[in-house]
Amino acid sequence: MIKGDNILNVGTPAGGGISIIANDPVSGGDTPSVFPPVTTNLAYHLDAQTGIYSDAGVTEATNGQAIQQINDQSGNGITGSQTTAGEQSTYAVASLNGKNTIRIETDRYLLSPTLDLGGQYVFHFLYKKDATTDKAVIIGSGTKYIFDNSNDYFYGPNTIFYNGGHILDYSVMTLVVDETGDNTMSLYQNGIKIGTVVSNTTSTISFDALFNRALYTSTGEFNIGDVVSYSALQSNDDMESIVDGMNTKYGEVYLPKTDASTPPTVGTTTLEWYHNPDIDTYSDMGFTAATNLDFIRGAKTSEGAFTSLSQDVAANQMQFKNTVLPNSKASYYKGGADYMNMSDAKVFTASESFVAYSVHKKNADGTNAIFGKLYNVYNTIMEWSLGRVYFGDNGGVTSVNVTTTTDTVIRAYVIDRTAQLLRVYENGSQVATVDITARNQSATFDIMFNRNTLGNGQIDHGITLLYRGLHDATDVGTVSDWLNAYYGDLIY
Amino acid sequence: MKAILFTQEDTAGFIALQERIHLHLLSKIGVDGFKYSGSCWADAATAYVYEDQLCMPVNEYEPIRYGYLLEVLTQEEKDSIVDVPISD
Repeated sequence: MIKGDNILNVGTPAGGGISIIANDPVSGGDTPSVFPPVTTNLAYHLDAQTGIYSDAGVTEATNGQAIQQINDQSGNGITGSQTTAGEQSTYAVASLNGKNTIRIETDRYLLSPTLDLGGQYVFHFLYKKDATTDKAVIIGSGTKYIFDNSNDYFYGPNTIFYNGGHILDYSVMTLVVDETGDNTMSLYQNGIKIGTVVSNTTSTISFDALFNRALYTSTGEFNIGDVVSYSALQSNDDMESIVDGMNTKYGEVYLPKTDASTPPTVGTTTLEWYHNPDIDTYSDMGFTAATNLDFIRGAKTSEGAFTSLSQDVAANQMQFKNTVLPNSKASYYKGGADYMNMSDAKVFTASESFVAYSVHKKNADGTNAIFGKLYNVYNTIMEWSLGRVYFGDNGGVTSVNVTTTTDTVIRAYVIDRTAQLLRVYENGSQVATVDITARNQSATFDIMFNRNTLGNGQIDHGITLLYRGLHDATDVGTVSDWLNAYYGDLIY
Repeated sequence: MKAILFTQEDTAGFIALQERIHLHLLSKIGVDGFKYSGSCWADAATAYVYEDQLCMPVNEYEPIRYGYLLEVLTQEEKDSIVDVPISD
């Protein structure tokens, strides 16, 4: 038997026999056709398209049939079985864009052998529950489980995400558990980070059952597609590849990421963060592109894999606009104490130079920031009132006066750790400099567009860039010209 | 910003009011195209503290959402809305 996605029988050649060719993978996309695209440290794979049996592993289940056995496709031979008819799920063939899912009500499957993981592991899974009142357990171990509860909480095995639950539209979820590293657990929906919480229980875990837990009278009604688990942490590239691969496999339950215009490469400096409001901005968690005046729930950034912005607190959400900046480009409007959470904190040591670029238009002189750090008033690059520009490291802030304007401007903030200077440029020309000798500590940014949620000014933000390394005046001119060109050469 | 203030001990009051607002806004989804994607209206854990009081933002700059928000406030709560100055 020959199996494969890209194998083609091209007929009988002269002289008899058969002729088979193996096509190259389909080109034109970033996502491989084989799922999962990453097999390193693959520990478990529930594939809802195959290995689903109505009996003890002999007969593939058909639509509507009760499922007795679910075979692991990872190669590790973890078998889920349930022989009690009342606790068996049903097979929902072609229930999601032509793909099969498993329909769960009060069902569960004991795993043999158990899925044993250490203090660092990752799950990716696709599911949706019927209603907020449903309890959806993906997999569990005794009293620990991966669990979308009915009370707004999403449970990881050793901690809880408040406001992380209630997945009512098919979503690709990622749970990253790092209990032997930084003691955290992070949850993502459709590649957009929901949040990170402390999870400092360092231990191994043996997942012994799929789906609902009779012990806790879970009665969730939900559908699930693939579940893949890895026994080690993964790079952002790998996670994006897996999540996008699962999305492609299931016919795009969320909007695929868009390619952005590429900012200039400047010497040996690296572009660390690139946020472009014109693309991958959503009024929800990746399903719906934001339109004018929508409040922004999530966004994906354009440099690096699996990086995102999010804000689930409604009072702190920014508004999407496409009527403010030149060339009909989009902006994130901050009307008050709004901000966006960054999926990955950007940390610069006390000796590292870096440069931030911001396209923005203030409505008036007000209190705004480009980058900040939650729960901290220092780590920041601020466009504050009275035209003051601040750089703050972990120890304090230093400011310099710049003429305030309500025009759309391209500002560059060069943190030169060698010369110990903050240089501020506007539209490619230096407009201020100040000694930052006192700023001798590292700087960490984990929110955009505000400083510890305090700035109350009204401002529209266009593209924001963050480079690691030093840019001289010529470099600033190059990047500023690129930004200006993006905005139709209408800023200067 | 405009806000309703709570003592730092009164997180229960903060949470109760934000839930009322949140549920009301959820109920308005789809009305005249209204969209709402918050998991909550405000979060006591990340609320701005002004003069030892928790600030619940009552954003007035977006008229549709502000109008819905006012619908669930009592007159006493409306009267308690204050302008909170932002300092350095």
